[in-house]
Amino acid sequence: MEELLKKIPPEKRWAITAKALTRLVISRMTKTGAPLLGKGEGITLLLTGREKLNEIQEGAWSKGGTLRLPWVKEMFNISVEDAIGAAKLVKVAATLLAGPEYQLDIVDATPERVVIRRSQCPWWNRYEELIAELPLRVCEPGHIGWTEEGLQSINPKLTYTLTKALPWGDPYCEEIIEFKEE
Amino acid sequence: MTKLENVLSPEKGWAITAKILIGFIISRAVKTSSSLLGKGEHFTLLVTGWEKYEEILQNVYGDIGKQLCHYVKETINTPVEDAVTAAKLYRTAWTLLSGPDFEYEIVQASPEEAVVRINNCPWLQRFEEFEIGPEHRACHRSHQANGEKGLMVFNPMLTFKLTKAPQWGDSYCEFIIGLKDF
Repeated sequence: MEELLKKIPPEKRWAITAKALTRLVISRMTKTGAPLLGKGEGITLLLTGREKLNEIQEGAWSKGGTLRLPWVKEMFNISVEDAIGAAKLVKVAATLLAGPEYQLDIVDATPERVVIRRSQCPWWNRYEELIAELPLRVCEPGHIGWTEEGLQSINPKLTYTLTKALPWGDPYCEEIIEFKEE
Repeated sequence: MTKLENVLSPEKGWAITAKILIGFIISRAVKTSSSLLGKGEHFTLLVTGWEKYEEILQNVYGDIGKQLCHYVKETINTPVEDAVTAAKLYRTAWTLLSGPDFEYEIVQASPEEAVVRINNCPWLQRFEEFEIGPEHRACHRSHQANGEKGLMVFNPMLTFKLTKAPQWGDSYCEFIIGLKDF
């Protein structure tokens, strides 16, 4: 590694890259195109409507979840035999996706049921920086699709429910993972 | 519960996050939403046309170039009074955008001009993985804007010119960083 880069600690490098790239995702897809096109709204939303955009988001992110969660499970050898293992996997996979800015805490845990609270979310933080209009922040269909489909692809006994969400006006996102024998 | 830092080192996290997010930008911006919409390739380009699309990219990547070069300038804290120093600092900024897989080499160096060759580009790799041909890529425009605007942060007398790119039939990217009125 070149000398100048070594002056920046690894944790910081990771954080900067993640922040820059999540910013690119949000600004490329949602914001920057719109003013340049002379329209007041997000380019994709404007062209598709909310229902179709939700479908696009959920479809794209579900695909990512079914690819990424099993990959992370294998790479880090995370056992997913109950809800606690599933929550651990979600935490590692989400952090790998969007960087260490994520603050995911397990606030309640039994093997059958885990509650995760996301108090810092890189995607939401980028929305806050770039997009004032709440209707243009379309993240929860992707969030649900990515986690639910990803977990189901690993173990169909796992269920996933998003119970609180920043775009719904809650102060944080909260989700429940359950492991049901039958 | 296992702590995240016990599973995931920042070096590894940095590399994985960069790879995933660049893949996400390329696949989502260019391919996934279009296939979901059933409109063939390249959703944004289809809507905007080339001229507007390039303008969008220049705006987004120019902005990111400025931000990262500001960070590098403040962190490294070295005066930039020649082209070689500028090329080294710009390499740090571009690596912070693209992750540790990015490799670039200064192949010709004098105080007034540095010729730089990109030996490994994660963006190009992701285009190839997703089978997106040169006719649908506009990364040369993004790169030109990123370089021009980013280098201005180091020193307003610096210039950036992309001289080779796969879109033009070259096998790698090459650019020249110059210092006006040296």
